[in-house]
Amino acid sequence: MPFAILNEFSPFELTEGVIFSIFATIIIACALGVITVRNPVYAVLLLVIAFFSSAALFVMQGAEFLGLLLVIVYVGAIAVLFLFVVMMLDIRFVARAKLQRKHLQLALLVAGLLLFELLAVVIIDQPRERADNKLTTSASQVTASQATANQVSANQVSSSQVAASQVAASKKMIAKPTVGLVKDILAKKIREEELAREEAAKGLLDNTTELGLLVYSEYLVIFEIAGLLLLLAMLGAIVLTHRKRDDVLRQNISTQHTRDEKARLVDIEPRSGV
Amino acid sequence: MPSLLSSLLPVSLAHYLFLSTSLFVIGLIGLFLNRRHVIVILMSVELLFLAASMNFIAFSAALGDLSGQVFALFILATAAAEVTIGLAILVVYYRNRASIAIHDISDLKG
Amino acid sequence: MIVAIPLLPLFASIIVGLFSRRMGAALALFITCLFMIIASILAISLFLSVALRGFETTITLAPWFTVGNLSIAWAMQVDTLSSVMMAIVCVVSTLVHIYSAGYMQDDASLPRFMAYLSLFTFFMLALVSANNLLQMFFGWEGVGLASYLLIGYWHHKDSAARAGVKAFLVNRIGDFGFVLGICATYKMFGSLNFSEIFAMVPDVLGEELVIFNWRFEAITAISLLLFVGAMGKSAQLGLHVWLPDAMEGPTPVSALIHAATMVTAGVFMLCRMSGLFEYSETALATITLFGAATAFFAASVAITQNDLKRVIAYSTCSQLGYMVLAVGLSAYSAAMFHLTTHAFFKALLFLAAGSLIHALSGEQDMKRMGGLRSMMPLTYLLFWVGVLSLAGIPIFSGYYSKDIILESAWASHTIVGQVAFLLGNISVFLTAGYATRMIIMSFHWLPRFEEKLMERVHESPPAMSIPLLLLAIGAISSGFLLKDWFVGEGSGNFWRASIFVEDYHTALQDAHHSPRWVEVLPLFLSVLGIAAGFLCYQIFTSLPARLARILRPIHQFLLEKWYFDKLYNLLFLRSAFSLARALWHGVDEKTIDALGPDGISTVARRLGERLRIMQSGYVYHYVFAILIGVVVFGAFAIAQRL
Repeated sequence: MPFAILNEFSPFELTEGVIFSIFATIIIACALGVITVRNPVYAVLLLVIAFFSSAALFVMQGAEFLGLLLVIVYVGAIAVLFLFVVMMLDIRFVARAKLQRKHLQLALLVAGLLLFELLAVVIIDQPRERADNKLTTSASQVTASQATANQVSANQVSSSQVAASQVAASKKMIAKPTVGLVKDILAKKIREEELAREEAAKGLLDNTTELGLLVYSEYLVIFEIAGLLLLLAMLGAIVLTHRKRDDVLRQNISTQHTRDEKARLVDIEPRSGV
Repeated sequence: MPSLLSSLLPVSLAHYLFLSTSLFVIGLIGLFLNRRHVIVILMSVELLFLAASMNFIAFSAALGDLSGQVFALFILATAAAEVTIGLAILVVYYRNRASIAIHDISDLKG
Repeated sequence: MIVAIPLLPLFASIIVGLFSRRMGAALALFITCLFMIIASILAISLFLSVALRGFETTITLAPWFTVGNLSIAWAMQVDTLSSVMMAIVCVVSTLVHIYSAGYMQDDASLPRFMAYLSLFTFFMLALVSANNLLQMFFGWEGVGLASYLLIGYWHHKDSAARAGVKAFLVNRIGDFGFVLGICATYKMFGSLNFSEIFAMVPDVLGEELVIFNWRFEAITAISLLLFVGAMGKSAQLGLHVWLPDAMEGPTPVSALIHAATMVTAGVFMLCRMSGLFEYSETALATITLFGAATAFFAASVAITQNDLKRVIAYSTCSQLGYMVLAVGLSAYSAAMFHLTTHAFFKALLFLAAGSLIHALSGEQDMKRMGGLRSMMPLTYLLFWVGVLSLAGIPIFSGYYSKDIILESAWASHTIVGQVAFLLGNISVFLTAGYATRMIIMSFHWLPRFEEKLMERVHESPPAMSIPLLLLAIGAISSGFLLKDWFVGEGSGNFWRASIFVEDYHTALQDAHHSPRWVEVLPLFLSVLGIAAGFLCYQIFTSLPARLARILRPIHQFLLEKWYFDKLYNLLFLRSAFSLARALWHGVDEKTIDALGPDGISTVARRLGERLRIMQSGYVYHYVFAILIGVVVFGAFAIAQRL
């Protein structure tokens, strides 16, 4: 019977397959819906669903931090922002401007071509897994495999030596009481970091910690710049949309202060007048 | 039927690539086949970002390299910034023109 | 002095032509007529010295060009043939010049007319005095050009312009044959000078000309090709269609060109090339047949035409047929004799008709004439002179020349000769008939024209009458005066080397000994024709109409000029026009213009318009463009990886 083939796969794979299929279908359907529905609110909501499904897929792959981040930032902030704007602006149900058939055909043709091209990369060079869990393509496999294999084995040897020494050092550290100078604290921190990294190398840490270790050490500068970017965006939004209204009274403290020279500050005793 | 199943399972990198590529192309289609609202353009851009993120995450999972996820993180930040500015522009434009129907926005016409 | 004969008209033409705007009509007339009179005097004296004292010479004026072995020079050959022609051309041209003073006096651009007339005279003189085929061709083409200019002189008149083009085109066809003949001559003989050619002909007998793997007997081929040229110029059957339409030109033009001189250039050329033609029996027989057919054809059509000038035109065509027929019988001198007499009486007829037309303020339809006998007695009388000469009545010159031709036809004892004799005699009857008809319809009975023209009818002014009188004198006297010189027993001494006749071609000599009935038959038929004319038009005036009704198909056939025009229109003109139209629209407009000026500007504009669409102002269009670029780059990338 046809279902006998299911015995070839482990339950894990089967579950993965089912979940992937469901969520992938939802994502594609919602994406198509985003671009085709008439009601813009529906479009935003469909986008939200697409984000949720993507988050699910991310979690399934082991990137749970990013999955949840997707929900918090994309859905919680960006999609909500969309909704704000949609509802604030008077966006009518605009009747679709006549989309000529030949335009449609041409557009779909180009899109199809692009899809084909992007997939062609996948189809032509099937990705293959190597012994060290690093993906490579058939083209580079032969040439690179020798060099990297040596390097990888060397890395593994050295890292295991480091790890061994670190474990020993950390064991010694935990035995002592932890009060001391700053540099001791720092040294402890550094040793903790290395331990964590070693454990990460063994696949023992959770995704968030791993990401944190990576971002705050190697990609620190980029991280700060991203923060600056967000600041800039905020400033930009304010600057763009800020408008002065003539019919609202505002206070301009500096103007007030410099207006009347006769005014002066007086210290007043309680219960006495000026 | 058996071959279909055996191509669907196990779920591998290729599947995710296929998904993210399709999502990317759908986002692109939304960019220029859209004849309704300008908002949809911004949402299509969000779809593009999402597709890129998905691609990075998929490769990160397959390669065991976390830098893919880091990059997806920064994509997220960038997307947020871009949406902010984009919507601000939209709001200001709407204030000035009182319409954001696509066929009205053609000031660049040569 | 001899050189002055062709050069005087040339100078007159140039001077009057260049200054035609500033010159008045009077000065133009004076210059041209004076120069022509001087040239005529010189020509006549030259003729007399050639005829009486046997003067002959060849004057080389200047070299023309030398290509390889071919060396052509401008030269004048003075012998009997050329001096006779020069005299005729100069005299008739002078008389026409003087006549034009009266006939064209109301014309706006008379100097141009006189310049064209003198130019034509120069070309004709260059033609007849040539000593090589190329100079003859130069004159040949020149008279064709002058004919075109003069036929279409009233160029604003659509029919005149078209007639000019028709004349030029049909002549062109003949010229094509002529050019082929010249090329074949050069190929066979290596020279284009007459004297050299004639000297070499006996050696070339029997040789063949090979063209595209077809073999032709050389002499016959060359002769026939040259005859094609003569067919065009002398309006023989087939290439005759231009002559009646050429009557669109002013009457002096018709008199000069289409009666006396240009049309006779073909006959002259045939006589000049007698040294070649004599050696090809086939060519001679063909020439005879064509001549006889033409004579008969034109006479048959002439009895039905109603336009006065057209009748005279067909009459010219018919008489040219007689001349060509004589050439085919090796009776070259008879042909030249008839050429001379014909020049006189035909020019007389044309100019008299011109007087008639001038008097009636341009009316040319004989049906609308009549009753002028009393109003224009002199013209009437002179017209009779022409008619009687044309019909071949004794004393008048036409009798002698026509008779000797018909006698030669009988005396040739060949089948073609007999056919020619038969057709020639029938044509005599028809000729007399239409000539009588012509004069009766124009002059007799009561006037059929409008009242208001009545008071304008006048006898011609002296400028027109004097040339008529002189021509009449020539028409009467040239016959019996010149017949001994031209075709008499001693004509060999007269013509000497200018005409060559083989010993066994004895038609002309035997003609003098022809039986009585042969001599009398043409005269009898002429008188019969005149009587028939009187019968039909003077006495039983309803007879022609009844005959036309009874013999309706025949009448229609003749009236439509044997359907030649319609046939040519169907065969050639339609396809030529559609080809021309196709080339015009398809090639010139659509292809060359489209690729060139129109095309480039249109392309530039359309390209700009199309490119402008890309700047729509819609951002999503721009995005799409970016996407297309991405797709292209992706394609490159993938293609490289493959």
